[in-house]
Amino acid sequence: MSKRSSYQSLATRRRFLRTGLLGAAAATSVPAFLERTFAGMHHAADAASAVQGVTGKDGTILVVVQLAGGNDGLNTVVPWADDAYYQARKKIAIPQNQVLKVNDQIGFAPAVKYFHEAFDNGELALVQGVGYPNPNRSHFRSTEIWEQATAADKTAHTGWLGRYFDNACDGEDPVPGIALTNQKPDSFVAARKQGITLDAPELYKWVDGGEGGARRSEVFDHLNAPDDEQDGASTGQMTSGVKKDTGIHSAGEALDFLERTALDARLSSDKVGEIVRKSKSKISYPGTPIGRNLQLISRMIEGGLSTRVYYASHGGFDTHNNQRGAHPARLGQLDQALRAFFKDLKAQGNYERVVLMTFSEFGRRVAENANAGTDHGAAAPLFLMGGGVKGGIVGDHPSLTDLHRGDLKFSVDFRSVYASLLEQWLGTNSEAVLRGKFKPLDLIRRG
Amino acid sequence: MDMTPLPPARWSNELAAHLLNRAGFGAPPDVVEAVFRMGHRRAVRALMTGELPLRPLGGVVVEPAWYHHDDGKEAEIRAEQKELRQQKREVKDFSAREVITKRERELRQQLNRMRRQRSTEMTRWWFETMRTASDPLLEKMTLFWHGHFATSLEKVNEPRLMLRQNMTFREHGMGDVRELTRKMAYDPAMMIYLDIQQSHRNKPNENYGRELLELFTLGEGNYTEKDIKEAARAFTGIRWNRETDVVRMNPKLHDSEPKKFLGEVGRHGPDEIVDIIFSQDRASEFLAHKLLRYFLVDSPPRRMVMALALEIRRVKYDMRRTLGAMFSAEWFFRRPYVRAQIKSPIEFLTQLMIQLELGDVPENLVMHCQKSLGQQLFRPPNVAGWPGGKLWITTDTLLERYNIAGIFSRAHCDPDYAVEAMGVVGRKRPQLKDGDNARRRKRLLAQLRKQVPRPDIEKIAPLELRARPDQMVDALAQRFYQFPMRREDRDSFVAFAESRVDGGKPLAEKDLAELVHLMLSTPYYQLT
Repeated sequence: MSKRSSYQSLATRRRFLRTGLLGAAAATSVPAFLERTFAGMHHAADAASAVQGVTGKDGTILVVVQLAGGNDGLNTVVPWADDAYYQARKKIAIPQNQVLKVNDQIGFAPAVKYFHEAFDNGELALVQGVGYPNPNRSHFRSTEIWEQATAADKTAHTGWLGRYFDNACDGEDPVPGIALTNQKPDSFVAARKQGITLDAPELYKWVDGGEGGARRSEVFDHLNAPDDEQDGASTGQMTSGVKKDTGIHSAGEALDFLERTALDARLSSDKVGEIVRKSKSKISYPGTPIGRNLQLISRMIEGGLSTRVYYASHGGFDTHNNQRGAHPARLGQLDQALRAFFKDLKAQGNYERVVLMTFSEFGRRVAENANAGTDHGAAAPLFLMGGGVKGGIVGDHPSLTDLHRGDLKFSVDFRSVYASLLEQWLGTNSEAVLRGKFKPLDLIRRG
Repeated sequence: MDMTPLPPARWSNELAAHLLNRAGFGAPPDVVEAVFRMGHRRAVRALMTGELPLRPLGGVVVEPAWYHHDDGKEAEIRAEQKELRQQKREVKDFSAREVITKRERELRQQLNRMRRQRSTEMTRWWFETMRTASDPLLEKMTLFWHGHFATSLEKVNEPRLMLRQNMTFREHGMGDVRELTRKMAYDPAMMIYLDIQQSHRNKPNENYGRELLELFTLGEGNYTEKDIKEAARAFTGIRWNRETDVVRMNPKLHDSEPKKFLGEVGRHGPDEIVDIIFSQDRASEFLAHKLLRYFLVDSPPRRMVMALALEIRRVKYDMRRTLGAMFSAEWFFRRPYVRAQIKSPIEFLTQLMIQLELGDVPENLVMHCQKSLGQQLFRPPNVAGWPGGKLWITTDTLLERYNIAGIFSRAHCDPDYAVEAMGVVGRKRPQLKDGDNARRRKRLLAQLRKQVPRPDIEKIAPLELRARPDQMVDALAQRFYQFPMRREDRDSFVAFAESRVDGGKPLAEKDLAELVHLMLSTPYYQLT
């Protein structure tokens, strides 16, 4: 889609909105999908009828949970039968008798009881040894590689989920993706459809004073919409010189980006606020940040948002020292939050619609360091849970003795996991999103 | 591209505003005008010496007393904790142990409370110092170094150490960058944050060595994994002693064997590693790029980076001279760079408060605004500092900026928002449940209203101006945007003001507040 035509669609959107806001009849012929999408914007009762091209409120949903800092895979999925593990980790190894055994080789750490139960019930896929060629040990770079889904020697300007929004989420819904973080994740960065980022849905609104509100919100709306009065002349295509008949110099790209974000904010805030206010979860969640965020996600799902991808982050995995207390604590918080989340989804009847994937920028070194911690490593396990998942183990546990520069070798490229989710769960061509061919794995249950 | 200064004929009120916004935290229109009248060369000189004719707001801000005179509270708590640990080893009786455990919990909570309080105090101190600074460039540069050598209270945990580091940035941040970089390996906050404190000859911790190369000096791709390992060996054995508060190299823990770092073989210690790094031209390019990103533009052209890097080497890494040359350069004032950078949250807040001519802002609000906009002083997200640029802006933070502007312009405040803004600073978000009683929300709203300082209306829009909507809008635009608006935006504001002007009478205070709020609730206001 050319830049120009994308702005034209913005303009159309806005013309419709503006007339809608001012209570006039929709002047121009509004495409049917627009009508559906925004019917709910100012009449919350109809919010449920907002439908995205490929979304639909009965569509499949992907929840991505980032384990920030580099989760220690060996103390999450423990190779309890391997003496090399106990040799390398004299202080921090998890004793055999505490491991929640899965088979005669591996088991889960005691902190992730729910993982173990879900595995037993065939509701969890454990993908072993996930990584990528030429692993990078920098937090930032490796996170970037995972979120942009590039090779280790390339950078992209967009994230893999952002490219999915751009490629597959037609329609004009501003919320193909929601990240419950205070910073937009790299994976959400898109050429056009950014998704939204929010921290506290109750406060996700433009507050205006009330009286005289109509006139004010009209001005506000006008100011917070890329302008279409001049045939798109001020939406930022003109990145140099002087704008048509205004005398203002163009702030170019930054202003353009700000204007698009402002429009998205305006459109999405009413919708999200309405849904969050309407729905109540009956299940109690732990009061941790990750617990709260998963609870919000479940409320949005229950509220019928047409969002396809949710993203939350759970931090504290950079365990360079005194890992014994910290690591199980962080894992335990995740485990308890997930237990509540899936119980909630089952109670709502939405469990079958959801797949949740965890990811972390890297695992840790095999050997512990002198501070009873672990330093940055490479390959690590990744987990998928939820109604759409085909439970079981994919891939082999990496060898603890055949190493690549002291690190576990990867056997599954993370982009194959993405490819499976894109193809088999979100129903879209993965090659366009991942900019390359990656063979999907067998992770999703066939209807 | 080179460092040719801006021709005096091109100096203008708009460019004076640009200089003040980028090298400091903006200024009200009369100060901009005064700086314009000084002429470009004198203005840059005054900026370098902290002698700009700024109008001070509020009183003098003094750093927290506990920085200079430790009241010994922390040491006291620690001593008792130590004693309790000792007792616990000896006591076998269960109920006696229970008593000890309970006391230990109390002490932990006490310590945490004290640290929270102190971190709030110093955050407010620094923020207010920026807002009222007589030397804004020093503050802006201190913030630059804080984002560059990023360390966070999240891990360091001790406010005093963070404040000490801040003082180091003030003392050396305008001097020789190589010296500042050498000092960082001996800075307790940094030592804790990147694990120098535990790096031992037999088990070098790579954390500092890696970040020094990747994020502080050369950038990715300009060294090998082997270089990181060798650097890590050189940084072993530096220890901060908590009791005496002294940092020194402990030779018993230090690896003094020969190392090969960036091709140079020798018994390198910490300082030699830094010297080898800075002997590479690449270090000046990396720094130039980072300075330009911070002060001028998100993706600076390569030729500009090279010109500034050359200047950095020419002045031997002297920061004051480097900045002086940058703020004089003709390219610093080119049109595409003026009002085209997204304000950081700190810039947004300081500029907003300066433009509204606000008095003292209470500390809980300062904390709340920083947190909700995504830039908490002393708490960068990670060792890479704040990524900045477009990443400051999400749908969420943009709405938040609009709402904060609403609070400070006194246009509105929503009870839900008041609950949030008056909430506990820290991790706890007051949960807004339905049926959260209306009385409590009302009370919080009233408290918030009381707390928020009033804009100086007479300065912002004198009475005689308030009866003339078009001139008033232009004056406000000069104040908030320092640049012409789009004509149709101006028309909107004027129409709005006219709709509120009652038969030629001046605009009422509340209506003015709403007009100001509208002008601040725009994508355009987010640019500097």
